[in-house]
Amino acid sequence: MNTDHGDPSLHHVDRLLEAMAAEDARVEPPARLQVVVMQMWDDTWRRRQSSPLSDASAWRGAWWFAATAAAVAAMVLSLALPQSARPTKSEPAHAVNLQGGAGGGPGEGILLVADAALEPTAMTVVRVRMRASVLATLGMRVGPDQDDTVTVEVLVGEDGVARRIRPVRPLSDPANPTGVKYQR
Amino acid sequence: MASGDFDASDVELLQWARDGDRDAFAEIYRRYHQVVFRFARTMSGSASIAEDASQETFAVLMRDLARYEPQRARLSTYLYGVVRNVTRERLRKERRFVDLDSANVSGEPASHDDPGSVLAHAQALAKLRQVIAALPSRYREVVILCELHEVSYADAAAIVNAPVGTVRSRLHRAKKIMAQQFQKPRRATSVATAVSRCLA
Repeated sequence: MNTDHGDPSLHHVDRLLEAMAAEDARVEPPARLQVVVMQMWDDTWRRRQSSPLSDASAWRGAWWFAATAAAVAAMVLSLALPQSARPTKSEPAHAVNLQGGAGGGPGEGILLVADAALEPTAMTVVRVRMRASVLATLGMRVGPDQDDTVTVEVLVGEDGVARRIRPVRPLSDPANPTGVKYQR
Repeated sequence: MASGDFDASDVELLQWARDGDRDAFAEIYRRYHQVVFRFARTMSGSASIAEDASQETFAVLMRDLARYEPQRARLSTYLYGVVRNVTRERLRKERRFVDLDSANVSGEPASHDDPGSVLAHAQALAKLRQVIAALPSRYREVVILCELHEVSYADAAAIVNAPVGTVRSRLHRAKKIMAQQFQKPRRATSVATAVSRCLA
């Protein structure tokens, strides 16, 4: 109790506060409160176990993994494009569309490195976001999602060379499964 | 948590709870549910609001287990801060400040002296509760923390997010207001006076 005054009226209040504190110390929360709280605990952990990514730390880990993968893919992509093949504003690159660009098989998308793509090797699909304008230089015009970016998948070989690139198929547009329009 | 670990520190309990130890969280609840509930009850003047606020406070702790940093604040300080915010938010939504439920006003007599003085004491406490409930929340919370829960000025300052000097001045101002309320002329025919006269 903090009594730092000599005023008698305040002293009276202090004494009453002491009595009230003593009375309140006997107050017990209802027993059902504990039942409810522990039920919440059980529900929370059941959800976390059924969905590992619901945990904040798991989301952070997934985010860092995606960001690292995107950085690696961007680096690989920039190295994979030969200087001579890099497009200019006046002359876009002549990318090769193997299967018309609308297929769903492994051969779809833009072939980045022809020789390497023909070699049988284990591939890794890396999903990254990149500027729609950069994709346009490869001859692919895709409507940007937001911030002028599009989501693409890059097929990367064991040697770190990117073989193919394709935009992620938008689920909301069944009429245009890939959302890609190829330049002539 | 191993059986018999009830003397474990809060930090240990939090770590175990973070790893999914149900018993550790139950022990945290056991240690702090009373202060959380009492704070919310006195702050709101309602047992039902206090129950809801306590439930929400522990839900917040559950959600923030991974983010809670023991080096920044003790668990009690953290919980006081959470229940303070939750209660204030509830009161703001419900605009309910001086609705004392009957459980608040009644109480066991503090002593077994003559019935007149016991009744007068009970009346004084009931009035004190009403006066506290009518205080502005920034005064009410420091009275509850520093006077009723005996929280230090430093901890109270951390809980209400204000400098220690502000806590001191608010507390002093709150006591002045309460003293003024008790100095107001009483009704001549109060129950205590009537009982005293009958017993005289």
